[in-house]
Amino acid sequence: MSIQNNVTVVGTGTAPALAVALPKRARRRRPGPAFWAGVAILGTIVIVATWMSFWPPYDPLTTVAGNIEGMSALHLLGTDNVGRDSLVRLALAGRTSLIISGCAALLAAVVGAALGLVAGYVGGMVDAVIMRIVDALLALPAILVALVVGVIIGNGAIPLIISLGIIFAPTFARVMRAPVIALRERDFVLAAQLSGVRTWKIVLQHLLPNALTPLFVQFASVASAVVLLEAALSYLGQGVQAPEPSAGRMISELTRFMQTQPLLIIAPALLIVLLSAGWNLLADGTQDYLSPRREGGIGGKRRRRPGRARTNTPQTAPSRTTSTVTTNTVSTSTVTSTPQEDSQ
Amino acid sequence: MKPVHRILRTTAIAAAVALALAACSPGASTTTDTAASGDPVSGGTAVWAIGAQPTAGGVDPMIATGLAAQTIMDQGYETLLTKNDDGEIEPGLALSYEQPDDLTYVFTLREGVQFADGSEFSAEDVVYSFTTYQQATTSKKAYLGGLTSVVASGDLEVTFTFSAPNGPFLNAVSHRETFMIVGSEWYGAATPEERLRSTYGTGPFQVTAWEDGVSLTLTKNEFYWGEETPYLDEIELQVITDESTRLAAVQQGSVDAAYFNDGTLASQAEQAGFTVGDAAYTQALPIFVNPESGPLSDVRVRQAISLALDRQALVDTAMFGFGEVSYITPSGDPVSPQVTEDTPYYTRDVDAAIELLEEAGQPNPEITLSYFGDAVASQHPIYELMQQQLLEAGITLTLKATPTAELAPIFTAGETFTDLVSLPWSYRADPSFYFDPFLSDAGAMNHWDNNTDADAAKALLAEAKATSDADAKADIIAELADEVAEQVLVLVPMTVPVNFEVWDTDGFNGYNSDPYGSRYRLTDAWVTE
Repeated sequence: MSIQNNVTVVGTGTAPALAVALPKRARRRRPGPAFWAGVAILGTIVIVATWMSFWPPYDPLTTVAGNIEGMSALHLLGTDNVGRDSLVRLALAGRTSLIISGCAALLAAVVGAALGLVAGYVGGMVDAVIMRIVDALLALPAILVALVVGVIIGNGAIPLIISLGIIFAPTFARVMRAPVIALRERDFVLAAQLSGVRTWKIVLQHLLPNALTPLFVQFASVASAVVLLEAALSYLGQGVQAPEPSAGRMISELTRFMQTQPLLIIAPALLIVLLSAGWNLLADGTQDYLSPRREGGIGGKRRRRPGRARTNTPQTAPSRTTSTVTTNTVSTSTVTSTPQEDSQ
Repeated sequence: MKPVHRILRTTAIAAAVALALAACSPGASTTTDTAASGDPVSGGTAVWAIGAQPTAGGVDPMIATGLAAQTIMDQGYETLLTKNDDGEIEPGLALSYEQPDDLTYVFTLREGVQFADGSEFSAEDVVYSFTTYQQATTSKKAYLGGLTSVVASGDLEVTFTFSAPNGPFLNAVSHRETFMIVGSEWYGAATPEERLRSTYGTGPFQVTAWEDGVSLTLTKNEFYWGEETPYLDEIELQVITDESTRLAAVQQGSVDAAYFNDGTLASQAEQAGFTVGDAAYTQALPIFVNPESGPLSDVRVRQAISLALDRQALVDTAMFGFGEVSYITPSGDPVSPQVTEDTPYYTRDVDAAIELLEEAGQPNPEITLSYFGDAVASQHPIYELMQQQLLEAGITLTLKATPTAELAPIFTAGETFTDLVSLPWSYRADPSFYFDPFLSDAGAMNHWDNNTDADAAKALLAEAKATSDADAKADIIAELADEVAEQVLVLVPMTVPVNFEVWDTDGFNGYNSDPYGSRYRLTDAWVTE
């Protein structure tokens, strides 16, 4: 199957259109502003957190000045109620939140993708059982599950990662299953089966690489949700434990000083917003970058760009399959294969 | 001319706005020395914001023992005796008492007292009350050990007889929140459900309405024995659980009074023109020890911990000065001994602590401290600072914020725990009962059975409980407190106020806080418009 063939299938079918499309198709796509905004936010937090982790101006767990001191040259964001430097603690809270969100999303991705791959590829009863369990888990409120899991396995960063990983795994299972179902009937998969390639190899080498795009998007999206949930759990005292810094717990502990020193609340709240927004922008940017059907940047601006009409990766989310180019509806089953598969 | 007019007009508007803002600012409208005073005025409703409504047991004195219930019940019910702010016994429903021998108490009751329904109060009501207390499952029964009979020896005379000397008895019957007297007819005729929701006593205000989670209404007892008191017609207790929201209510002026657990919020209310009452430092913050296993079974490790603590720094930094260094008997209890520089292992000495740990062969012990993770957040910094201080002596303190539900069995059912557990508690009617939970045989936190370090303290406690003479008891309690500090049978970082009461300087008059947190001066309070 060639690229040209694909264009004939989904394009307008006119020669001039092709003539315009092909040169643009060959040009390398660049990530949009949303992607870079996300990278910039998360990158800045990573840099500051790394700096404060390895070369902290003050011990984050030790009283270094009077309590509830305002901003000063010595303490840029002042001190907290125990006299600890707020900037160092906030940076480390950002680090903790980033690590927890990244690790929890990764755990969820691994578990969820495995379930989705098995359900999608094996199908039948296995698919039905796995997906009904996934449906049931999705129906449960995430915060409630996190609280229950926290009570069972305890508090702290690692239990949080485990519980949040379990909570968000079902979303990955759904995202993974749909493209696998589309792909399993494809020629290259059938060819692999007929050639006697082992099942696990087919799944890992042929199906997984073709279903990764939605996984990346989902990863960043879930990480954003994890940031908020982790903050909520820490606010409730079930997340990161004292004296380790955590943005959610900072808010819950320092609300009482809201009137006397508002910065104590504003700073951690801003950190949560930035972390969540950073991951979200990264998710949007990744979606825009990897999925050419959806154009535009932060504002969702969509332009008619015929040359980028085709996708070379499967589409899974129905809401995002709307093509701005093709006049005929493209369902997931008509998605074209990648050049990688064409070579098989 | 036009520009000049404009400038003048702008200046005039700016001046008006500035004046208006100045008038609205908290500092401008009120000053503490202009508090409305003069003769009390009868009538009116006072609105008081409270943090919690009574839970299990409602406002039934035979069941409820929680702090939220006590401070409401003591408006509805009265006790035989009371105490003044210096801890001296004063008349209550009984005008006097005699003690013919160690085993007998005879109370002469006040004449002309009526319950809020108009029925007469008599000796039979006292007998009914104490008989019911003895039959009830309430923990208050612990104060009635050895009570063999309560009889009405006259219309206004009651005689209590004990099988053995009961030291805490007088303190218990003079505590406004322990043995409240109920009426045999009125209370006796009410259903158990009614008793949970309303009061049936002789007190100045009766609970007449209770909207769950919203408010409780206390209505004036028209038959109260005070000549003119109470002045208020009604007290509305608004339930506002979140402290910051309560502060907002105070600042908006939508309540006349409120209380806060957090002193920093009370200070903010003070800036809004409210008066902050004299806080009673009656909530000791004991950290109980489980010496059954681990490093804390060695007294030297316990002493090292006590020495490594800088208690005054904990008060100053973690609690913004709203605390006092104290024994397990809270410093605000009028009968409590006070910590001095001679109190054993109370003055910080990190070097001595390190030496003790080396002697014990445990230079770097690792100890776990559990505390309420979901309550009294204002006290959590204490534990974080303790962690810092102990680390300087090589002691690693692991903090374990635990849900209340998980910690509750430790102090109710005697469940075991690892190393240390912090359980803030409040005023006790008799000082010996501060020691009871961890030293007496029936104490839920007593894990000292197989450790002889507590033997001397246990003997002193038994002696204190058998002593009713106030001076003799005070000496024993002082000795006991020192012995507990010497053996570090419990760690007390500090004592804090149970709450900080604030009230509108201009509108709410005649009130002041009391050391027992009972708000008994509401009887003398009045409101002005």
